[in-house]
Amino acid sequence: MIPGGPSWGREDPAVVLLEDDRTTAVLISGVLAATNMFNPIECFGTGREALDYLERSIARGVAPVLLVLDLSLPDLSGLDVLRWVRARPEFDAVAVVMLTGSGNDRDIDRAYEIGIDAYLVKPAGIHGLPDVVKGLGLPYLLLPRAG
Amino acid sequence: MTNGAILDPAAIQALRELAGKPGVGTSVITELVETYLTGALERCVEIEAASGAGDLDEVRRQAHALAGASGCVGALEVMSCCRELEAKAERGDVDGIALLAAGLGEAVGEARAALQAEFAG
Repeated sequence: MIPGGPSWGREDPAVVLLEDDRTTAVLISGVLAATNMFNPIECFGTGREALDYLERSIARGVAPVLLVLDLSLPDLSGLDVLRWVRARPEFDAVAVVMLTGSGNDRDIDRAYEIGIDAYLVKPAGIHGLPDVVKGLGLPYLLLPRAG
Repeated sequence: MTNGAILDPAAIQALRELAGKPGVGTSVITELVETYLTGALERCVEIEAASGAGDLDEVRRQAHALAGASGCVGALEVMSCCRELEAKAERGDVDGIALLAAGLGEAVGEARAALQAEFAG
């Protein structure tokens, strides 16, 4: 547990990965693992599963520290999930990165209007994720475990 | 040695660098490639079925997903083929889709051989 962090409870704050393609999810998880971050990664393939997890996290009093969202999903869009998150004060401190195959200006503008912290385009953006996340200055992420 | 026509050398290099980092290792790359190849074959079947049924939305959706996954492992030829499939699905080019869909499996087979050669052992 990290005292005083964005988690309200006693668990390490998680990184939530919303990605419906398994290959992409494996690569993103590997890229994040390479940073030696201690945070657990919770991976979901649908927007509904991610929202269920986030609802449970409110009930448990444990906020994630970072959401990495795909835009195009089988049910809800990444923007729907982002809108849901930004409407809840419990998640005010949660950073959100959109990691998507779409480099469409309209998608980028809409995502920033709703409140993302960074927008990356796959596949090249996947390998740039650690640097972007470090640039967000999240104090409870990407820290190697002591010992 | 990277087969430039089938694989993207920059993507392969990025995967090699990732495999060399502490906490990752070659097992992650092996898992990545195996996950990709399994999913790619499944999506080929879905695309051919959707093409045969004239379901262009499903062709576009599956091709979009396979293009994204292919980009992750640097499967350039498969990605290119899928981008074309997406474009043809959006244009309603049924004949063009059938032709491309029929050749997609071969492209995935070539990607399989090239990826296994890159990351074997």
